Amino acid sequence: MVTEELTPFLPLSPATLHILLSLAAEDRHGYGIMQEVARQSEGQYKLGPGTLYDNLQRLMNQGMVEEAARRSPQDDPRRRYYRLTKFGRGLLSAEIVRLEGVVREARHYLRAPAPRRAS
Amino acid sequence: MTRTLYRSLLWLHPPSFRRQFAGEMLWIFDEATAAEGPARLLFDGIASLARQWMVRCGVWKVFAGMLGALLQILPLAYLSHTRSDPARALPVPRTLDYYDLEFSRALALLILLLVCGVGFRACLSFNRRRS
Repeated sequence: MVTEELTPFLPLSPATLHILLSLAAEDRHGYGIMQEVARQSEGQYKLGPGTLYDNLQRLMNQGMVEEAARRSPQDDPRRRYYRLTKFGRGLLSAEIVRLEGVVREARHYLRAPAPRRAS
Repeated sequence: MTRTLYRSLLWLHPPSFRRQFAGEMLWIFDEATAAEGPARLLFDGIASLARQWMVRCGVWKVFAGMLGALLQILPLAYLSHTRSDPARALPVPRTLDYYDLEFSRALALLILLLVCGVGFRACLSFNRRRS
């Protein structure tokens, strides 16, 4: 059930959906997100750093993503990790439910026989 | 060479975005150049630069305002120029004399300056809020 709080953010753009999805399993740094998005889409959707950070900035401002602690002190200081917030996870779940509905509808109509042409 | 170019592109981004993400973007450029190719990353950097200034910052509103004010100034400038030369004068109504045109042009120029000032002020406060 989609709450009123989530409605204004749906549907998600492809970039937002892929970024949130890549952060659903674990915290990742920017390059890790780019690689995970390419892997999830089997190379069909590639994010550049500009697109990634433009979206990340927006998602952080909207409270869907937040910065996470570094994994080890030996990490490159330029490398920062990001994690999904509770709100971001809820939004992703709502979007997946919405997409499931779309796929169900699409399957239903694609399976149904084509209407006969009136003679 | 391409790294310097990319670094310059990052430097041209709005200050708040640059402070937050430029270091990380440069790190990704270093990591991904071999796999992705520098051309794609440079193109992405240019697109990001345009998006940050034109969409996120709202500078396009200033340009639209300037264009609107210029559209008012240029015909007035042309009219006042032709009025001073009787041979090329356009049939401007007699009630509209040279001083009216000059006053209108000064007013339009003032509007242009006001639009620019307010626009840049809005952009600066927008950047401060984001940083």
